Amino acid sequence: MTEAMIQLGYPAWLRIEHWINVLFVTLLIRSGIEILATHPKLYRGYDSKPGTEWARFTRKTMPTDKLYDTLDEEESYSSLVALPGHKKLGMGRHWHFVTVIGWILTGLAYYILLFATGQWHRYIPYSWSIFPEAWNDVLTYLSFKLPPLLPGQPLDAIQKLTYAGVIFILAPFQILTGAAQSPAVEAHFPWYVRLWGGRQGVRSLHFVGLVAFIGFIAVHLSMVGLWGWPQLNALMIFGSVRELGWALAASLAIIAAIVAVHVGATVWSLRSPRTVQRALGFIINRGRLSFLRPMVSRQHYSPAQLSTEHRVNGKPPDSDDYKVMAVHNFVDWKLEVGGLVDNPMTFTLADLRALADKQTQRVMHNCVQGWSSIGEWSGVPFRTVVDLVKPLPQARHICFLTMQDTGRDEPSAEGAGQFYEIVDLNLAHHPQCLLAYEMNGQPLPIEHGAPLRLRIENQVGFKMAKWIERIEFISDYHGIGEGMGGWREDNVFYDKDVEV
Amino acid sequence: MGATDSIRPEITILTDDDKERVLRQVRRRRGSCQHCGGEQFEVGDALFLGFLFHSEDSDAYMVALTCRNPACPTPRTGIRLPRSQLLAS
Repeated sequence: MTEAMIQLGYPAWLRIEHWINVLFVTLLIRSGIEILATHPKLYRGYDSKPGTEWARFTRKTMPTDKLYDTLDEEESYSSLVALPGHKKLGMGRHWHFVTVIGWILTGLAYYILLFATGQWHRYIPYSWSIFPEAWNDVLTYLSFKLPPLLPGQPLDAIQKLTYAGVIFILAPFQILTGAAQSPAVEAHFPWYVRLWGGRQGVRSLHFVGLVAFIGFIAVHLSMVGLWGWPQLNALMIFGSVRELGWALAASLAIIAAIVAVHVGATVWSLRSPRTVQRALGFIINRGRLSFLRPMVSRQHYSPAQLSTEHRVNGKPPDSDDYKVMAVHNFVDWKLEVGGLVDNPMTFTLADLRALADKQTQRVMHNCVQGWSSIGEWSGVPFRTVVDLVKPLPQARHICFLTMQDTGRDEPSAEGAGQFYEIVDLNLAHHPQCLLAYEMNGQPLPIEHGAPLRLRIENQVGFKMAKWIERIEFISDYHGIGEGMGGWREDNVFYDKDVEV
Repeated sequence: MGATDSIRPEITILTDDDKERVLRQVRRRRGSCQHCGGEQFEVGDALFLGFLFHSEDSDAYMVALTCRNPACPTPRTGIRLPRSQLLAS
């Protein structure tokens, strides 16, 4: 075994990539578990109807006599398994996305070097006969013996197939199933989501990939132990079997450094989430705006695909003024549109209905928590309102102010104050950017934002403000709230731009 | 008639008897319009609050009242009632 491995060699780049990969994969696993914790249920198909999950990682039960939302279903996992743990989805997303950028770049370098240096011989099978050999190897392991190595190669057949599967199938699978969960990708390429069996189908597959990675790590470590940990460890440190003591010390130092990164990332995220949000968001946002912002929604789901129960995130304004307006069908509600515009305007619901031909779109709603539902939304294209109020040249963003007082209305959310969200002005011209006053052919239900909500179909759901009462065109958002671009950005550290 | 002109999905339609019960409750509570002081109201429909709003009792409704004073600047108001005082058992 050892001689064969020495023949193929363990070049420095391969050893360095191995340890970098350990860091990235473990960061991805922990941050992925944090993301899972926010909606710890898995479904098939496109939507997340309560009670249809095929797997759940929570014991919470929801009330049947009171409106609950998906924030109530969120779980708090320990920092031992989740990065950073303790219901910090915003932090988990930042770590997951920044790590995946590093992981993809590392993987690309690995592929290039693998084929440029001939190291691909280590993993790529030469003939179909490897499959029966691999099965024999499995039987041999099950009889507590070590199978023979492939002639002139460093691995046995099952090892070679497994490594090939992880490197050339599982890793790309995780990247592709991750990309399929981006609302921008889903909105622009609905066929791509269909390919994976729907939004929840692909989320489930991504989870299966996570389990496969954890399983691989466990078996990989067991194999190293079975075949001679000191020797193999020395190969992964020095590239040859020598100085086993120093190799042990070096590997322990590397593992300690990886653990230190995890501890540092956890403590930093829990103690100073704003700085994590700014630092990691700066890195992620470049790629996000370059690659995903241009993806315009072109979804047209069929009526048969509408979700029978569209989930809810956020609770309605719990004020008497709102309830009185609602019982009178929002006759007294008014929408003010102002700020940096040439022609400030005020609209009633009737005004909005008369403003333009009603636009209807059947689209998938992607919650930041991972659930999804398909709904039919009708209303006035937002660009119609924009054209009427005529934004001034210095207007660059749009602030949607709502009637929701989060401290009063949403006990499960961290933070308080009036809910607002800010989007870039260029999104207003997207063809499926809509001010919706109907859902599924009915007046917009209260829990979904009555009387008016925003739909921007290439963004995550929380940007689509509900219970809107004012729209303000602004040049800069840093003086609003905590200056991060919205209530959730201010309070739970999400990104302002959420194409993923 | 468009969907937005139609009855909201959360609205409970009240019968004439239900509306009479509401008016009795308004009179019993000496209810008056907070904007003009008027005491005559037209009763509309009801919104079940108990499910949608976490601060509300599980049997609470908001009933639409419209002040009959033509000079009232804000005639639309409401009264919160439990199911037992609103709907026939």
